[in-house]
Amino acid sequence: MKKALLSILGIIIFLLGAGYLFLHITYATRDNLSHTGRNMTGFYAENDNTVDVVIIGTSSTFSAYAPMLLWEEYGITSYDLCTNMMFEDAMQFAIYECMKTQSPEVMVIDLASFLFGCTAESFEGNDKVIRYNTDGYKNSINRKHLIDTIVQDENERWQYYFDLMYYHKHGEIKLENWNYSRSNPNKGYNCLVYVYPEGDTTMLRERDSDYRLPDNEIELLNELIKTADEAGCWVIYTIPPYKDSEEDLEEHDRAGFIKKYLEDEGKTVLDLYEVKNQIGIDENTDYSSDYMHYHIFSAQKITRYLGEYLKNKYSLEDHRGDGKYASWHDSLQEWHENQEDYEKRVQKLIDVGAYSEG
Amino acid sequence: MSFVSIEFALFLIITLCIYYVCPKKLRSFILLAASYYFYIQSDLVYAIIPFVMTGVIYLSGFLMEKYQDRKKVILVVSVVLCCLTLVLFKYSSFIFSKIGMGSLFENLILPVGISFFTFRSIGYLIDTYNNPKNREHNYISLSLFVCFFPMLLEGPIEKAKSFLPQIKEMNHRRLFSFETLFDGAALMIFGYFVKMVIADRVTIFSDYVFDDFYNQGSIMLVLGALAYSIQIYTDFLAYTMIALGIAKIMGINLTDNFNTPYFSRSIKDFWGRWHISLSTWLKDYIYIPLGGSRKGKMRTYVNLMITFIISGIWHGSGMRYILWGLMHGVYQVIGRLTGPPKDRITHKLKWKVDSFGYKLLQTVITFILVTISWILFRVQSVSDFFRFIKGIFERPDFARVSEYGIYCEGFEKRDFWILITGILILFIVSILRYKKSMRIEELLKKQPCVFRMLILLAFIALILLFGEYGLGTFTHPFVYIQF
Repeated sequence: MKKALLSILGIIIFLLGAGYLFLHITYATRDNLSHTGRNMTGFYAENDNTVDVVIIGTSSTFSAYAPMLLWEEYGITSYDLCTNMMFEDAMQFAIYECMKTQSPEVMVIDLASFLFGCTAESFEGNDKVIRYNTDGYKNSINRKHLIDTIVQDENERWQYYFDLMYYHKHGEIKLENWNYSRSNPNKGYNCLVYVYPEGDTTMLRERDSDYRLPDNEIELLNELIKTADEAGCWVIYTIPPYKDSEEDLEEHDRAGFIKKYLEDEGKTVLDLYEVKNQIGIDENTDYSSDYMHYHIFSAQKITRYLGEYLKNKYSLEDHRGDGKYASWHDSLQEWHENQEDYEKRVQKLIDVGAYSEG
Repeated sequence: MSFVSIEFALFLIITLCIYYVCPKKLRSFILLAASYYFYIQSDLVYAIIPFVMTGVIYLSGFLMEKYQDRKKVILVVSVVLCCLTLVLFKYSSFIFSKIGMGSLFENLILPVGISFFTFRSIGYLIDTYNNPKNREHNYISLSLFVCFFPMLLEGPIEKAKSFLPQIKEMNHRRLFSFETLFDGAALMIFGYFVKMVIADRVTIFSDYVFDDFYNQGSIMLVLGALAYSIQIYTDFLAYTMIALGIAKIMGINLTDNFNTPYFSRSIKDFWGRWHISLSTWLKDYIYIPLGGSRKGKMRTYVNLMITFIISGIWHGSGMRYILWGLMHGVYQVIGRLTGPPKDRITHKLKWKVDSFGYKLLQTVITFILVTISWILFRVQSVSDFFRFIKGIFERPDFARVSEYGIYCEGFEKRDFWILITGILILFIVSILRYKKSMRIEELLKKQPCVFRMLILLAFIALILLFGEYGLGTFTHPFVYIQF
């Protein structure tokens, strides 16, 4: 009997060991995720319950908010929990992932994805974009639910559940990702070193008040609201400050509908498009890779606006000087170096009137 | 269903679970059902062939036992029936193409594993003929002998007298133990390592050379031949280890097909170490019945040639397989003819035949001879073989190789170093096998439990990191399945 028990114990230990290897080799080989992987590993590295403000959104979002600036100037700890091309369908899962380790006082949900209709349905079969959404997460039930939600074809799901199948052959092995937890000095912020060409800067027309979001997206918005409500913290929905142009942007009308819809639901909406002048956005030079992405100078402006808003409305505690947050202070030097580098590179582009360094 | 697939992993787990929990009496039935399910996944219609062949050999055994005075006729008829089945599916297209009627059989697909289960069946018939009392009375056990799924596709060509008693025993004894599970798992994991890290990686390179050998230079052709030699060995070794491992977990010991064949010091030695179950079969059922070496030198040479030509034909239809058999027959005959003069020369020159240098020289020569013969397996025709050999001497490419390297799509510098490391690991394991005559699981058994587990986990890690699998990767079918 004792021998049998020992045998079973041995088998269990062996299987656990094999499972551990499978899991962590998966993390070590994950690659080709653009900014997403680094954002997520950084989030997992944050100490539990130390982030006051979690900012959820897509690439537009992680280019707009610089958490280290919020720390340096307001003493607020925040993190951009974002992935490239985050689907509308995937946002609720980011909230679930956040709530596993953090209990933020404020959650900022950036609605850029809803402005350009970034749904799983519209990107069906686009493996790369789907992986931006799924492969940043640690393996968990939440990740499985996310995959089940955004990958329509059941036969295709296994390759997302077991993403080692995708990465191991061509991806680089990064042992520093073994635990999928690696401190990110930018706290999820990514500077996009581009300057969107000046072009036309005519103020957009009034938003069309008759515009209505497609029903499936309204449903997704409802699910997002429901999930955010369950988080039990203050929730701010933000509309990003997109660029004016003569072009007839559907995003403009979408923003109008979403804002009204959320306000009717009694939610707090921060429409940064409408306060672009207060933020100090320069229509000629402040946009980055496109009309809804930002570089370091515009990010500094948007972040400071958010900082003031948070300070005035939510009176968040200033943690500077608190020993519990020493690691944030320690990250400052690296952040300063990064920031200086971004500023130099972007300024050079502005000076020569170029779009990108390449 | 390939051994290297998610489907097979699920199939195996489910089969093992059912096998372990079902009543003892049902075990052979479970394995038979699983074996036929496994075969049907490869070929639904052709599953009838092993089924019918089992019927034929069962009936023949019964008749041989009952009518012992006519057992020779029964044996001849049943062996001819088995051989005809093999000829129909494997050789008819080739034979009839020679008389301009090849189109009659062009739609016939070669049923997987037919060469293996046909030879197993013939072996059983001859054993029963020699001793009719040994015939198997249990139809399920005999069916399992013909198509037990781990050995269905690539053998080993098990003998009834070693396999069937284990099936009987299996239905009575306690099967599950940590030791058998560990031994089986060790064999399987090492098999998967050899297949996925070495064989499938070296295949990319050998395919690159052979698929375009007309345009390859000398160095690339030599490296291609070397790569194929490594491929065919590691691929077949891997299959065998996985098959042995699966069977071991089920409490069945199969015959090992390999014993470090590339360390052989002569072709004779090689055939005692390569595809051992086939060489044993050929020796027991062809070479010895022909008279072996008991009827004089000339007859021995003839017997050797016949045996190896049959071995070549067994591997496939086409002149290149016959030539391959002839080559090995000639190697053997020359080896015997030159043996005594060689001994005299070495004695006169006072060469130390037991020295490492001399042994290494013998091993290298044997390896080169074997490698040359493998080229016949990879090219499409005998004329291609000669073109390949000619190319080695006619197209120097040192400058090209030194400028562009040997890499190709799917086989880059990283792959080269992974391959070299994999081969080095296999080499170390083989050295241990050669010196201590113990397989990897036997070597590990002597180590503390924790160390054993760590070694296996390390191999799992190597497979996960460096194996050829996953999206965008073509999993190469096992080479010997085509035979």
